[in-house]
Amino acid sequence: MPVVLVTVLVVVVAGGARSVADATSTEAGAVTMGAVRVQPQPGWQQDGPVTPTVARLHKGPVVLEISVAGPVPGGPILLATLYRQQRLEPAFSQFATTSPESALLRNGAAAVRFTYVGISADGVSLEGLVVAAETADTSVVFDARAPSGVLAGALDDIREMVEGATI
Amino acid sequence: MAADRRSLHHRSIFQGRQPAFWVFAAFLAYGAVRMIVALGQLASLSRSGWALSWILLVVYAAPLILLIYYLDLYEREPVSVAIAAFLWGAFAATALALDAGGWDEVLANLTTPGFAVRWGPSLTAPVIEEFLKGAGLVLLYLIVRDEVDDMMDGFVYGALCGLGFAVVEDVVYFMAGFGGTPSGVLEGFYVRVVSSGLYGHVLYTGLVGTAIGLIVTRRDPTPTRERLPLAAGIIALAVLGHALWNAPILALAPSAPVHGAAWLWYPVDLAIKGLPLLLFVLVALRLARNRERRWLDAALQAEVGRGGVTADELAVLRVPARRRAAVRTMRARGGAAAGRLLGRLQREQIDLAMVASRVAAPDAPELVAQRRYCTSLRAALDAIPGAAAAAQPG
Repeated sequence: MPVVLVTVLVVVVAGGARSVADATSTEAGAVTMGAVRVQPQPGWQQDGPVTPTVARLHKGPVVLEISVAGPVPGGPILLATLYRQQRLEPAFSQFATTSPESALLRNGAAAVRFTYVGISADGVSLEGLVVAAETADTSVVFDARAPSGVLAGALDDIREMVEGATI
Repeated sequence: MAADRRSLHHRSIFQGRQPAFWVFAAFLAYGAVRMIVALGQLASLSRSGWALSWILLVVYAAPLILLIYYLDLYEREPVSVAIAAFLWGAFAATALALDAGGWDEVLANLTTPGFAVRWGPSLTAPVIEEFLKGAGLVLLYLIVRDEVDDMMDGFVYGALCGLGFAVVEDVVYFMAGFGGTPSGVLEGFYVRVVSSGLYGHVLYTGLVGTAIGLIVTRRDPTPTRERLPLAAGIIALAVLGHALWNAPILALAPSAPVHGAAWLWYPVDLAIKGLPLLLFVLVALRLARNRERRWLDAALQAEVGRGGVTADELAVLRVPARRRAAVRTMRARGGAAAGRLLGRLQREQIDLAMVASRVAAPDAPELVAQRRYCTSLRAALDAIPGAAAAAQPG
């Protein structure tokens, strides 16, 4: 009897989380910001209103912020640098990044990506992944962040949304 | 007769007739597959960083494993059970905790993503992770009930389980949170292990194991019902300690970029959150040792003069330093075989105490068998030239 009880409790705590999370979430439709369209993966929800320049999706504590603008003369490397300097560094009391790496997204857009760790102004330890991509007439920055240790579990979803985005 | 004596102690984890063994094995196999795949994916980020992570964590964990294993001065736990506790923490608990990540989503769905980001790690992770690690300890107890005698045994198994969890979690943090490059791994090692390696999962799950040991102990005459509140309090303390560690408060570490002596603030910063619980656990371990010594005295006092143990042997047996000194003296005077034989006699005399505390009557067959076995070991020792003189106290 104790063995059955322990087994059931473990299955409920570990396996039931997904069911409860799905039951308490609402499915989000495709998010369109100007020329950029992103299809949320199952379980991802909109967080706040979608504007022509910004949208936020979240799955639990993992947040994907999508910022859209016009083309940047320096290409994705300058776009990534500006995003780091103007958006990320002021938002963290401690902040460190990896070196930017060039990439080509599945949709053909040239991109630069880097990861970062930091402690937010209110003391939360976060880790993040930034993908800055650009086409001839649009630039877009995907910034996924989560509490330390949590982001790894959402990387597949994030990769799918970023790579599958229409830009 | 020998079978009666052996059946009481030193059991291995491989108890195929126990349903709990197969449940434990199934969860462990699932966790091993899931975590090996996940850790393998992290290796693709940086093979050198991944390898460095494991090397550093082996250097950290190996001495800690020995320290934990030898905490119980009177009775060493079976190696296979100790390894099983470590593996449960490393693979089963970590994999199940990943599966339970949906509770963070539930918190975000019921509140806001911002609240979940800020407070999720201190509200969901401590409860879920301590439960999943504790569930493994309960299964271990159900597999080898005779090997969880008291609070100290529970602490040893719990701390090993927590250490296993911490090692795998650290690899994930080094690779995913600190970038995975060798320099990132070194920075992660400094922050998570050098600055805070004595706090964390080892303490939390050690406390959970202590509570389980308190509930199932057969050395305490207090009714189980009366021990439950204290056990619940110990588990609550473990969860609260974990929650405080994860909470976004009391973060005093210096701002990046960190240079020179500023790195020394990390141990100070992390000690503020971790040191109080560490001190509590050290005091608790001290009390648990005293409790074990009192138990040994009570159990063996009545055995003096019945053949299993003499008054002089008991005086040596109750002080671990004197036990080790006696073995060294025996080895010097009677040779290595005599030293080993005395060590074995001492272990069997501690088992005699365990048997004595489990049986109702002083003439119970297993107790008589254990006394005779100790007597035969002493006779074999006395037959070794030089051993008899070395056995004299003083």
